[in-house]
Amino acid sequence: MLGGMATGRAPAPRQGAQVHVLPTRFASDAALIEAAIARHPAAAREIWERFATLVRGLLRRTLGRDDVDDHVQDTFLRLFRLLGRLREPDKLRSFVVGVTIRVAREELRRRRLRGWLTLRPPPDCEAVATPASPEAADALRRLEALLDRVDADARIIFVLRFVEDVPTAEIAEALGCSLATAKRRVKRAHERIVKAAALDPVLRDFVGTEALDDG
Amino acid sequence: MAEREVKSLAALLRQRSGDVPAGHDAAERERLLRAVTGTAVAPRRPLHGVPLRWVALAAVVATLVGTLVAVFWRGADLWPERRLEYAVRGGSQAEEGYVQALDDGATLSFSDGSTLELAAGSATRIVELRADGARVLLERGRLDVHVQHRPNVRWVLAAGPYAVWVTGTRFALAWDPVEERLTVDLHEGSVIVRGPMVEQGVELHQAQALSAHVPGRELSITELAAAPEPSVADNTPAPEAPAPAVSSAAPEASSAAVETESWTQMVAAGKNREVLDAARARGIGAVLGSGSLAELVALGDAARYSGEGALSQKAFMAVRERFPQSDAAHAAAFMLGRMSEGSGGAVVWYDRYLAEAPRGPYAADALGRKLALLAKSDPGRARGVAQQYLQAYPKGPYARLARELLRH
Repeated sequence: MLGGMATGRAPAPRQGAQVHVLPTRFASDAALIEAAIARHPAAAREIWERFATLVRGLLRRTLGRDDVDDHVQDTFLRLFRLLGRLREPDKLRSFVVGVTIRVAREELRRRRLRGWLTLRPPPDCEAVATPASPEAADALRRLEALLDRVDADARIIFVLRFVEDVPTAEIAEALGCSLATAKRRVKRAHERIVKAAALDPVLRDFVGTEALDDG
Repeated sequence: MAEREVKSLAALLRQRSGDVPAGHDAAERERLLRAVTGTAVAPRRPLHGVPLRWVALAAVVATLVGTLVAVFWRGADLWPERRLEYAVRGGSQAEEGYVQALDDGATLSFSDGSTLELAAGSATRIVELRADGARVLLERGRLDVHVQHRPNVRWVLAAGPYAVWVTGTRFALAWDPVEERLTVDLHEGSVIVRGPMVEQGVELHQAQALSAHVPGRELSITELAAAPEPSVADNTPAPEAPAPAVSSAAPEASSAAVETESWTQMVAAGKNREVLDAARARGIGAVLGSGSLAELVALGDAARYSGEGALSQKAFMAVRERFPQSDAAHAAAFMLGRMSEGSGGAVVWYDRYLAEAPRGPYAADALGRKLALLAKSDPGRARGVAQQYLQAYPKGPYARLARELLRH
């Protein structure tokens, strides 16, 4: 913990210096962000409380596994490093989603490269803790295997738009692209995944039954 | 497939929710807090000056070469995780990682550089060895622990019903199974202790000591200098801790809990006003003159977050004068800079921080803030800082400002 060099007596700050005060209870996102940049533990705690479930859910759904703790940590550490770039505090949620997307995308690409190098198919997805039924668990495994075959962007955008119900405008902010581009990417992801699912007999049957039951 | 089918697909994926048990969430939250507040995971630094595509290409080539080597020479796992190994000097060993110290104690040296010093008469068991750490059970006595800090390292030391979560630190752990008494003396870094009376976990910081007596439902956290020496190695009960105990059997006694809570913990919990009240009760002069480093930092933070800038400045100045070589003293220079922005003194503080901690956690912010201030007051000097900033942080948050300055 100790380090650095000894210093002489530091100059006293001038009288009447402007003092930047951070609020105690982070009444606004702007205050919370300011405190987080200053690495205030209470700010880090509040950001975790607000977004951990969102980040973990996004990562679990995009990466297709329940053990995502290290990726969640990576997401939050990056978030704290990058918070200084956030110019509009009311966009904090989109910013968090954007950082999560980046982490998920990198992991998916890393996984793909690893699969290519080992010349082995990616391992089967883990079973979820509480599947609604064995059929549902099987369908989920097949869906996640299908998602492994589409590109990382399509998978992430599908999860954001159709699973997390994130509005397209917010996806555009998170991806840093225009609304029109985001709409095109959502449409492309939708088409690819629906087309692939329609070709999978088990998935098609399961989804068809579920849809009929809903109807 | 129609929209209804898409909704069914989405519903399938929703079975993977973001919910986890509360204990797991708390553990992960504390892990993050340790990293964010600078006691763990070092920030990754980009490779400056090397185009990213070349770095990526080099990584792919290196991976391919490594793969071929692994295939031809190992013929097995391509990325085997290398578990920690350890050697024991002194003491006696038995099956399943059991080590008992004799009169001269015993030392367990791990392949990552970590060491466990087992006091005479103490016994421990290495329960699990992984690549990123180990799980160790202290069966009785005292263990002086020095865990080598590495990114993402995870060590857990268990003693009776307690578990101590470690990333990189030096501390002493003592457990008396007869008295059911635990002592943790933290010399460096931070740890999280979980168990009876601290089910959600409590974080200990440098120079703090935790003492717990399970049957008596007593737990106290004190500054290390005032803490009793652990004395369970010879099976004699530890003396009473000087601080009042926290009784989990009386949850309504929150004032007692406040008294025993460290100022650092209170600031972390947002109890800034309580810290200021406690400091005033002791006397601000006394705290500034003889308070511990942790107390001074907590006072500086509490005052800053409560709008008492003058008091905050006094506390941070005291940190610098009394503990000039500590990391906290360097960080205080940055905080003093933040509080002095607009007065002209801020740039001096940022320069001081950058000189003392050029790779410190606030280095990028200090250089960026300095750039932003000079851009308004001294554009000529700002251009030099802009070059410096772009060289160090080409994608940093002030890079756009730096480029604008250099264009004009």
